[in-house]
Amino acid sequence: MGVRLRRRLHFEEGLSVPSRRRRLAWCSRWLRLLAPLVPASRRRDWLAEWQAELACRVDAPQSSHDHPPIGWHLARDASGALLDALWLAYEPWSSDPMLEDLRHAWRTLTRHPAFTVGAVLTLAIGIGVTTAIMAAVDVVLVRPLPYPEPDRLVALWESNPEYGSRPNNAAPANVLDWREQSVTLDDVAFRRHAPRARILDAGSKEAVRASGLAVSGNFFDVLGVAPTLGRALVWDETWETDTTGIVLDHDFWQRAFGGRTDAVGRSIRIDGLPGVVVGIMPARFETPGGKVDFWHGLAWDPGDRDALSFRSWHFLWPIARLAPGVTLPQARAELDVISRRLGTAHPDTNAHVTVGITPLHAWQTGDTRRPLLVLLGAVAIVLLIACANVANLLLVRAAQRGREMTVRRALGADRLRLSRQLFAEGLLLAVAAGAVGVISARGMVIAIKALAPEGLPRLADIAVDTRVILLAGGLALMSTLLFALAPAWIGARGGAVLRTRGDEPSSRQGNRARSVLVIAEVALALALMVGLGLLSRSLQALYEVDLGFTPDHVLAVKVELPTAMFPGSDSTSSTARRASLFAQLEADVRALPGVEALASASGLPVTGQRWLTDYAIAGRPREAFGLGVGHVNVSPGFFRTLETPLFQGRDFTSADGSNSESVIVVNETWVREAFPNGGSPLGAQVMFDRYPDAESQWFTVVGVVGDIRHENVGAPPRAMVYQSILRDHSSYRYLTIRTESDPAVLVPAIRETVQALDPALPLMEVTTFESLVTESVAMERLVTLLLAVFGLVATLLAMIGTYGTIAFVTNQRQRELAIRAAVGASRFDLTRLVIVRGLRWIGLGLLAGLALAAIGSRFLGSLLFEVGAGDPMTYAMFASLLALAGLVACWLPARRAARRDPSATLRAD
Amino acid sequence: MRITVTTGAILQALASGCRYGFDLMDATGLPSGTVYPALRRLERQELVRSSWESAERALASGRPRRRYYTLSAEGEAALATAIERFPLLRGAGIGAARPAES
Repeated sequence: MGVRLRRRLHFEEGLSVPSRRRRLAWCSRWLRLLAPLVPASRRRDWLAEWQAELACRVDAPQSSHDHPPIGWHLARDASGALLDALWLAYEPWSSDPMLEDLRHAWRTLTRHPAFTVGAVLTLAIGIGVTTAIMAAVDVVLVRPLPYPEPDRLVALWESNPEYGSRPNNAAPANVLDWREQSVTLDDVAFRRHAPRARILDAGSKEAVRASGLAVSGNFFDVLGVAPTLGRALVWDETWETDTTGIVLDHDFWQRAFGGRTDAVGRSIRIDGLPGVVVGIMPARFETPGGKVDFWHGLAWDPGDRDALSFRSWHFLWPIARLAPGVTLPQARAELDVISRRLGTAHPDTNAHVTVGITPLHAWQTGDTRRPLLVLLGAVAIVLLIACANVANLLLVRAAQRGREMTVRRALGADRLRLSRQLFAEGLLLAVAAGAVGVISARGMVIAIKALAPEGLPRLADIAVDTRVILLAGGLALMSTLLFALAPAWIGARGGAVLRTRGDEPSSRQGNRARSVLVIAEVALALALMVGLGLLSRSLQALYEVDLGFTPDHVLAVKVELPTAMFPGSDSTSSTARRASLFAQLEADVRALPGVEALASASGLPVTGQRWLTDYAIAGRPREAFGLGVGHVNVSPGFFRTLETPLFQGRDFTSADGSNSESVIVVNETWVREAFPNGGSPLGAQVMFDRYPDAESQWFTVVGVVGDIRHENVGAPPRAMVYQSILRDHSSYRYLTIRTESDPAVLVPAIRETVQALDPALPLMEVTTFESLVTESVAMERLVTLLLAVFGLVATLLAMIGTYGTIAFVTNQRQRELAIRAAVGASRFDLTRLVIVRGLRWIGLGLLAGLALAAIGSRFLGSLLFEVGAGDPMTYAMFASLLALAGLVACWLPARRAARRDPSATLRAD
Repeated sequence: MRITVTTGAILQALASGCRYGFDLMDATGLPSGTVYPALRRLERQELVRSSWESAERALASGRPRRRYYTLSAEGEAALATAIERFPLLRGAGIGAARPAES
């Protein structure tokens, strides 16, 4: 045994048999893993050779002085098998000209790391943001609903031209009639418009709070989804049954029942009433409109079918499945006929009610469509600017390589070959940028999910998955075509370069293309910035809206008294007990240190928690109805707590209870509507039943308060009527608490107070008024925030592009500038010369950008609040901002050029 | 045809008596991921020929059959060119310090 060069042996020592066998086995596993890469014709030889060599290595004598030990050497040596296999896999292709181009491009790119990294990052930003937004658009807008045959699912709604034809919830009796009379609809199902918090008691464990949605028995059948365990509800459960059937959401089942299959059949009390779990829905199943914990039948009293309230209370959200082969217009026509028939049969309630039908998908995504499309437009602009920038970089390099191209053309490379090579460089850049972009898109998706408002449909499904990665790949490819082909086309015109001077790295086409790119970048950036400006002014306006109350330092706590605690909800004793419990609770919380004022209400501002009725004023003809007044019940001191001004009359007092005169407080808007010709509303008698019966009563107006925005921040205040909450016997109230310091500090104390009063009293939904306001503008905030990010990125990219181009062009003119300096031009003259040229481009870009913004901002339309899409201030502000930034981008290279010593430049020539 | 220092070193190692892939690695100090693809290329360019060693000899040495590489005539010529270009190759001490196994 001789001495090897790399491994001097001092003494020898064999491997133990087990470790030898282990190593051999490891090697052969590794080789078999790689073998499929090797072309079949050479695979056997390849395997045999590597196995033999590695076996020899394993058996090679090991010196104790060897460091690192043989295992490490073996791993290192074995790793080469991968490269060898790859080489063999690639060999049959290696003479392919495309690969040749890619290899060349790879070498060129790695030789200029600064350029490569810059281009890849620029593109990656564009691809990343576009991919993230596309992921959201894909899930929310493009992908069909996750139900079988989703195209046949429709949403039905009622509207009443008297109230402005807005889609509205439907009245139960009407929906039942549609279901019975329609032949174009396979089936109609319905649910309450919103889930309710309920208390579930499974007996063994502590009671849990869960959100339950009341649905018609056929709801799951219409959606076409069956439970994974047990059964769905049946139609009869729409009506009252002995025990309420409950279908559990998969996640809730896991959470509350530990995923046990024997949960099905378990008896459960919902709010104290008997129920039984009948089924478990599949994982990821969601009813349209969002996630809930369980579903149960509406359990209506069959006697209500013909009650007036069943036609006049609109609180259902119906969906339907079109019969096979039926089109939307056919169904719509039939529903029109039915609703006209109902109008004739029930003129009191249905004379003006019409029915609408919308594909369920469009219905669900209606509110998010525009914001998402606006964002998609914005990221497209960012991507275009990124492409323009990279195109510019490639152009500059193409110009610098003019000589190389000339030589290569002179040596016989045809134009196609040169274009192909530039294209290959672009392709490599795009692939790298696509990879980085996808990674950054994942981060962005996480950020968007964190910022998105609750209730954005299918938010949880947004993810950077294969589909989106493929999209990103497509984007990368498309952008390659965009940015690589222009320079390829210009760069490949090597002949032109050859005809001009050998060293002059420019051509007229090159400069023209460059100027076009700069103009386009500036124009796109301005359009985006104007959009951002409009939206942020609109958001600002939303924040500055006079809400009619002061939201800071106000806490809202929803307290719900379980029906179980007060059996017989209509009995006088339970009403009294409930009232006294609320009174006690309010007194206890009011006594807490740090509480400035406390009141309660049946609904909170800016959440749309109110109900609507029509109203009639005593002494006026019966036809002179007022339409759509909102109702909220409040306690004495509610307006003082919210700091809403009382303009006339008085607030409620503790004397305004059930046994006293019925009084109301109204808001300014109602006064303007009901008394258009002036006159004091105080003392006016008002009724809220359009079709008065024996129980209808008159209310006396005793006070007028300022307008509170009840719908949402952006909607103008509507006419409102407040009644005393002391006459309200419902089981929940919102405590509104004005605190001296940070409201959050008080939450634990309030919780304790509630628990102390009755441990069974669950404290629900604690929030601050400020977050109510923020939540109300969450979508606007998200869009504005994202646009701000995109706008800044776009502007930055555009300015970098402008700077780079001006610097390059100025560099080209160095000789000319030097001569001018030599014949007496001052530094100022030279600077001006350079700047003027750049500003001409920027000016053109701004003009184009203003036009683009004027067209583009029309799409913002309904997203804008109190700001016109043509708001001249915004246009002027951002145009001048960009002009200023552009000036800086031109001035920097101009200053450098003017400072250069002309004699040095001329000598160098 | 392109001859790099790497290829030159491998040719030189083969000329001085190395026969197997792993011997070449030890002799040149190059990793297996460089030596093998280089060998494949040299073989395709017919500078190097390969064959399997005979079963009897492998059996005699108590190991599996190894693949055996030798310089072709063109390979000798290429080596000469390489040494002309990189004169240090000759004196770099590359090669089997031991005689080829016999």
